[in-house]
Amino acid sequence: MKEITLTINGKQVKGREGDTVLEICQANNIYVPTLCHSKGLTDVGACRMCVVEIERERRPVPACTYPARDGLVVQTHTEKLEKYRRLILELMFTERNHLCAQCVASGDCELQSLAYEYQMDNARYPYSWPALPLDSVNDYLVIDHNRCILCGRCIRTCDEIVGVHTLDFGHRGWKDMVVADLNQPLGTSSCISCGACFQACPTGAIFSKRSAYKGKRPDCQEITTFCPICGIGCAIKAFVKNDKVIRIDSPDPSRHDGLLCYMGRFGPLSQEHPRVKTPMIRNTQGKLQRCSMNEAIDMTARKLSQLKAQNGSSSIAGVASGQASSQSLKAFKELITGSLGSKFLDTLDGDQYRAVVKGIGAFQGKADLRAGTPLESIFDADCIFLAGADPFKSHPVAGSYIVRAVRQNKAKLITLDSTQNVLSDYTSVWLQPGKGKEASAVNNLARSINDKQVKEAGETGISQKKLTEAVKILGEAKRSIIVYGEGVLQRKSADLITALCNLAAACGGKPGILSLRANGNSRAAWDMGIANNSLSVTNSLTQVGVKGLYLLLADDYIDAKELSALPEGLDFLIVQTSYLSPLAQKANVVLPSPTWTEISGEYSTLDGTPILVSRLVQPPEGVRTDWETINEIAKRIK
Amino acid sequence: MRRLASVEEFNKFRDQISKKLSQREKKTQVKVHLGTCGISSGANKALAAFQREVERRKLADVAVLKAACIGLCDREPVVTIVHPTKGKTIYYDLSEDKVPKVVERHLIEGKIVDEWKLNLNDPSIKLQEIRVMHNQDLDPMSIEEYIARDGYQALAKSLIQMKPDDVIAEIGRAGLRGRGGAGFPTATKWTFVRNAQGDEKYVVCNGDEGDPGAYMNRAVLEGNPHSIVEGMAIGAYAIGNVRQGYAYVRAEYPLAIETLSHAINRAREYGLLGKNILGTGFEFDLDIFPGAGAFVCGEETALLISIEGKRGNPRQRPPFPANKGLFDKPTTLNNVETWSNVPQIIWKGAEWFSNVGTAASKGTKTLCLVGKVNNTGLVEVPLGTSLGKIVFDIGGGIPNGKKYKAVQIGGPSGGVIPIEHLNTPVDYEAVTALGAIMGSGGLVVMDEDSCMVDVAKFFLQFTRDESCGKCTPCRAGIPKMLELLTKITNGEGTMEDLGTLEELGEMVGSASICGLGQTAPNPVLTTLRHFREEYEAHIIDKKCPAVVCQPLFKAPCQHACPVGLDVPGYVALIKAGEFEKAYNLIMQRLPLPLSVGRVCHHPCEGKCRRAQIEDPIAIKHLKRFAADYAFDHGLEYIPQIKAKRKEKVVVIGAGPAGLSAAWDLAREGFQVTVFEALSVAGGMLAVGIPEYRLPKNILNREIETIKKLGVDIRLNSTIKDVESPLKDGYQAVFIATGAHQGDNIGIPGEDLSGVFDAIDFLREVNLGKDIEVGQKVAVVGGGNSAIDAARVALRQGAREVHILYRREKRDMPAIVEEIEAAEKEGILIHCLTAPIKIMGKNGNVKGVECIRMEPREFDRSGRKTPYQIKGSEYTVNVDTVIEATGQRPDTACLSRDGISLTKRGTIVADPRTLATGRKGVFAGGDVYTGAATVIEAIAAGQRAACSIRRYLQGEELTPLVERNGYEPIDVPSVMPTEEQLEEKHRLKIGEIPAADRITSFKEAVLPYSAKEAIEEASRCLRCDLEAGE
Repeated sequence: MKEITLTINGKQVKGREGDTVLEICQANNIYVPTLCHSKGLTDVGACRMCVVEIERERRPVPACTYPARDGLVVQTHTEKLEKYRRLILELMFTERNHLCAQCVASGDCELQSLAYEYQMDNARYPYSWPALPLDSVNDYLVIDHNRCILCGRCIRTCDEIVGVHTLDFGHRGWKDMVVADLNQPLGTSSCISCGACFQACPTGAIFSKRSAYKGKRPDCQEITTFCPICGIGCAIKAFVKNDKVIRIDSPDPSRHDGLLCYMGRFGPLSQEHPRVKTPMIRNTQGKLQRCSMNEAIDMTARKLSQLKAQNGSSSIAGVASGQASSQSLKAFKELITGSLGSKFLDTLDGDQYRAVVKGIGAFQGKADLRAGTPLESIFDADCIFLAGADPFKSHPVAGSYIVRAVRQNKAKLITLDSTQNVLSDYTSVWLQPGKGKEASAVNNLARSINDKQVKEAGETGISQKKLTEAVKILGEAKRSIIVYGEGVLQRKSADLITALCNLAAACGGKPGILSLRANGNSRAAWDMGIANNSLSVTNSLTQVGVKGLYLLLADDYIDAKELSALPEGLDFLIVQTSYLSPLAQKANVVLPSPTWTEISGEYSTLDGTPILVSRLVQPPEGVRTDWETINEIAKRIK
Repeated sequence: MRRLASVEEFNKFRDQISKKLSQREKKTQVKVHLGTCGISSGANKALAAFQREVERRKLADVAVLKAACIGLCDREPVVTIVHPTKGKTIYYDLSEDKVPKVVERHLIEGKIVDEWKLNLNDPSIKLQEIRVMHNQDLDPMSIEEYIARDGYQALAKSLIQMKPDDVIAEIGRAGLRGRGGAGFPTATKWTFVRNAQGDEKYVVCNGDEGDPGAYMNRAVLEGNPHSIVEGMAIGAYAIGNVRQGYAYVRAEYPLAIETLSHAINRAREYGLLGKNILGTGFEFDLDIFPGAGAFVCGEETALLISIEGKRGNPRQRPPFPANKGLFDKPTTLNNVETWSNVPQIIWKGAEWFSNVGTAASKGTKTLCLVGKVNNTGLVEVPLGTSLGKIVFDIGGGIPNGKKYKAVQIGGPSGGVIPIEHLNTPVDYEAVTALGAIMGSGGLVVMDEDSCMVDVAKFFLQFTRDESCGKCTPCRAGIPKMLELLTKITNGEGTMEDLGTLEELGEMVGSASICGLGQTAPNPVLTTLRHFREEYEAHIIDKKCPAVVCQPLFKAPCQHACPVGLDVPGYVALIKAGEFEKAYNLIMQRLPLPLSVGRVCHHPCEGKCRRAQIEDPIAIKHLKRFAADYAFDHGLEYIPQIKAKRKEKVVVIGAGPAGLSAAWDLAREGFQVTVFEALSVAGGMLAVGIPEYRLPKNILNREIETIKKLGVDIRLNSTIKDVESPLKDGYQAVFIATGAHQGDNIGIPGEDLSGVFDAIDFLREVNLGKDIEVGQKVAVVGGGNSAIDAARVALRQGAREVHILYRREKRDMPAIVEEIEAAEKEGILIHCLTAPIKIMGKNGNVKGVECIRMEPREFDRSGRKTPYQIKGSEYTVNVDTVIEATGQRPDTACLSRDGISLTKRGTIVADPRTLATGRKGVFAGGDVYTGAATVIEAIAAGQRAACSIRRYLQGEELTPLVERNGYEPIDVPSVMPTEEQLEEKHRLKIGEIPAADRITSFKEAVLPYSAKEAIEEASRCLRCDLEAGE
């Protein structure tokens, strides 16, 4: 881009053509106050704090929207401008009910900082004291309209970054309000509770229930790392005060991947389930009883050694959650297959893995479909084929990617789901096959594209019209991507996976396939071969004579319902977990796991990229990392 | 209808229909004007009635036709009848029921019905220049009529004979400027868009006319829709790469949308829109986008975003729509009127267009004249026509004899232009120079009943509610300004608030995103600039001079009264038959009710709300009634003296100002001595006002009452300086010596015998001297003294009395009733006449040489300045000349005492405390203001008394006068009954017949009887009670 020269406050500065005056000021360390400007969002010039005087302009103009030209002469701090800015601040304070002393954002507020900067020791106008509501229906977020300055940053974030466009302005003029959808409480709206608006808010108008009044960001230790919860691996910036995470932000919300979801942003801020803080063993009365780490490890090792000795290695099975860190998984694999010599090692979602492997194996095409498809590909896609997924629930950030691709890049979205279409607002075609007809429906689609001729939809349950539409879109697309989620995975159908591979092969431009797996570190677990068993361990424990089961749940909260079959016929159940779940209640030994925020753990993202997640806080006293515990047990196996 | 595939076909078609139309023109055409306002006034019914009547009477040579609005909003329905040879007649107020008579008389008998006929030579018609509205006699629903009148010729000409650049050049040469308000040169705008990168561009018509009181675009859309279609097509051709246009018309204009839609559809059918227009290969289509009712969508960026289907918020420019407009494509957006001008410029040429207007503002402008003006409606005038011409000549001036105050131009974005700028030419630059803007052309006329703070509030309320809320200055600043204004109109404002308003207004105007915010402070800033004293009156005096701001008063009449008399109170007491109490209540604040009840100029009645039903309450007469009742029954109200004080005060002059000050001070307990130079007390009441208006025995009775309170009045005592009383032990002085010196005219012959000064004349007669006047008397002047002198002259035996006044009659400062009474008595008033020489013979007056005057431009008081018409001199034979052209105080000697005087000889004092430059010396009444009214002099006396008390008690002098009475008097709280609210004119007051009264000095106006007084008082609406609720 062409380099241009401007005169700002009498000094010659350089910039690039196409930049705004504000961008050039900021690049040259010339301070201009802003409020409605936020990097990465469209600038609207609404708050008027950044007004500057430009030669030959009749009125002051906002630096944030003004396109810089070669030779512009700009003044950023004339007496008039400074007077205007102070007047505007006084207007903002008197327009609504700003009571700094009671405000959740006091000390961490852009409006307050500017008021200090402009020495706004009083306002010359009477306060209007409007009676304004407060919306606290959402589980995580509160909108307090009393503190809103209507800068619109939340709205633009919700629209441009998050993509859901839940928030917008309602009413008009002095009655302007930030509203959700058609003015309903945030909690009942289309809000996905990602909290991006909270981070975007320059005042305390949008705040998190879980961060409120716990501390100011400037007083905290900042730790920038990743969130391992769903496998997307979003970067996070945690604010830690007194060994507590009080807030999690995106390190750079202006980046297109600078998104977080409710799990990453709010999950670590509170404990929803009772923690296991010490090891427990079942006593002679059949009750779980706290014990020392040494006792628990000792008992575990002793019992496992005993089972191995008495019933052979095959009487022991190990099942790990895909939430466990890679180090833990590795240690676990060592213990089960190495030290104990058992062949019964699996993940909780092992059946899904085997279906995927089988399905891909059955695929006749050449494409290397096991290679990771980065999430980013969604942005590049001109067509997204979404099968059996509810991304805003399982992987909200992926949901945002999809919605933004549709809204901002005009990508087409085709949904395949026999029961629901969660992204119906953005979908071009919703293919709704009959139950169990998914595979044939997708194959039919693939064949139609391949042969450039729409086949009879037949019994797939998809109307001919929709099929024709889908064929047209997929056939014309140059960069398609196939995204499937739990709906597909839980079917554990190799045929459906093969069908999706066929579809990928039929579409032009070698589309990637992205699998939205349920657990954050499943990819690592699968890559490590933990689920390489040909047997479904979790379903066939009793048949194969397993007497002892070691469950490594880590910080995955699993209640007994999901694994109801497990404990039947077991002699000995070891549950290593962070939470006192109903499952843990059934264990003979409960070993405490730290949560992910309490360890420096290695994880893999959905596409297999390794990430290192730093420890944010100390684990409860005496709680070791899972791999330390496992290694210690391994050491004591006889 | 088949498409017109070529220009040849088009021309052939035009010739055909022209022929058809000229056939029709051989008949008598009855054209019923059907604009929105016409229809709402029943024009459709009139149309049906004409059709019915013509049908019934089988009038074969009459064609009943539809036509567009011609702008006479206050006189709808309007019908034009065009006779093939006798020309046209316009009827107004032609409701359905009048139609048969018009058919009978005009269409059958061939006689014009004069009573409903519009005078086509009236300035309201004559001074207009109809160009944009030029098709108002056509049916706007007929494309054929438009084509027959050279419609679409300009498009054909552009496409065939002109290159796009030629079209733009022609528009540029014409000097067409954007009619939406800012006046940006249209050709320059088009050039920007033409030169912008892009192979897809748009033209857009802004028909989101939203200013309160502005509807000229509606009239064009409804009346001449094809001119917009054609103009936009020409614009599209000139700009290039434009295939689609949009007309953004507010949804509140259903008829305009219907008419324009119809026009678009018809144009498409004829192939004048669409692909390959007239076979030239040019493609252009047009659609209507109905606006959803947001005023801000009239702003160009908001309008374009609104067409895109988004929330109509403006966005910051640059980029400008010329580069990045509708759907981010280069776009030109012009106002309805701008587009409408285009075809005529192309067809008739730039020179035709620019032959009216000013150097920088060419052509005509449609304006909406609304508010306090006689002829409301739509007018079209050449740019540069003076404001005064529009308001007074075209608009017919202000209704009900009220005084013009200002005009708000440009709607809520505009500003207020005060009376002293009536000569301002209405063009872009001149209007802007006064802090207003031309805007789309709404003119709201305001009279003395408009409070400028309230006006500013009104417009700010509008802009506050219409602000989109995007930028802080507009969203938060306008409500804040409104809060400050409300504080002021509630009487809680401070002078600092004015500074804050100005500062805030400047910032909001400067730092807002779009035109709405940038111009919203204009009403405040211009009223602050031109009417600051009204703001100060609200803040300092807690008074709303126009008597509008409710929180400042109980009842309008009381607020309008300079002494704040409890008018509703005594009227209510009269209604209840409690006449003595009514008198007592009046006496709480007015020691001279017998006199004031006879001679007051009664500003109270001017603000009486009952006038909105029919007539104001006869407040003056009721006051007289109560006072007469006391007089007749020997009642006298003398208040208790508060406390005896030793301080001595001297009042110089025993006129109304001096007497009322003395009364108040004496009641406070001060020792008051009044020195009066004349042999009688009462000042002008005694020696200025003639006996037939105020009998002297009545005045003397009031003065006696004042004396009974302990006021020492010393007659024949001249005090020429203020030094001596102060030396004599008086602690304070109030100078209230009045203005008893008449002005000379300054023409030859004033020294002749038989030339009198009106003041001297009236004084001598009042003092009982028998002044001999001649047979024929000329009185020069138009004020109350002139009328008094004329009527006295008549009573002194003159046979003929002529009043010579150099301005127009409506400019006469005298009380209207007095002028009327004088005329009834046979006095002849010659307006626009000035004496230039008094001719004499043997030292005696023999005649006056007069000259006719011609009113021309407006002076600062809003009256037209009279100029002598050379060669119009003529002579009137008279033997007496009375000069009544002004009066001055005699104060020259006071300057020695350290008291400053103005050039007019009046004393300089603080307007609110009446303190002069010298400590302890106060001045008020005519000696301070120059000749004014009795009640104002009394108010000044009370003000001075208040200041003197504060001064003597060592208190700070404050602007607010104490208005407490002396004792509480209960007033019945009875609201008028339904029956009393029904229309009922005020009871006429009795008078001695003119023929009888001119023979004596007997009081001419008779009193109400008790029954009449109760009846009249029962009309009172009791606004005071409503306010208290």
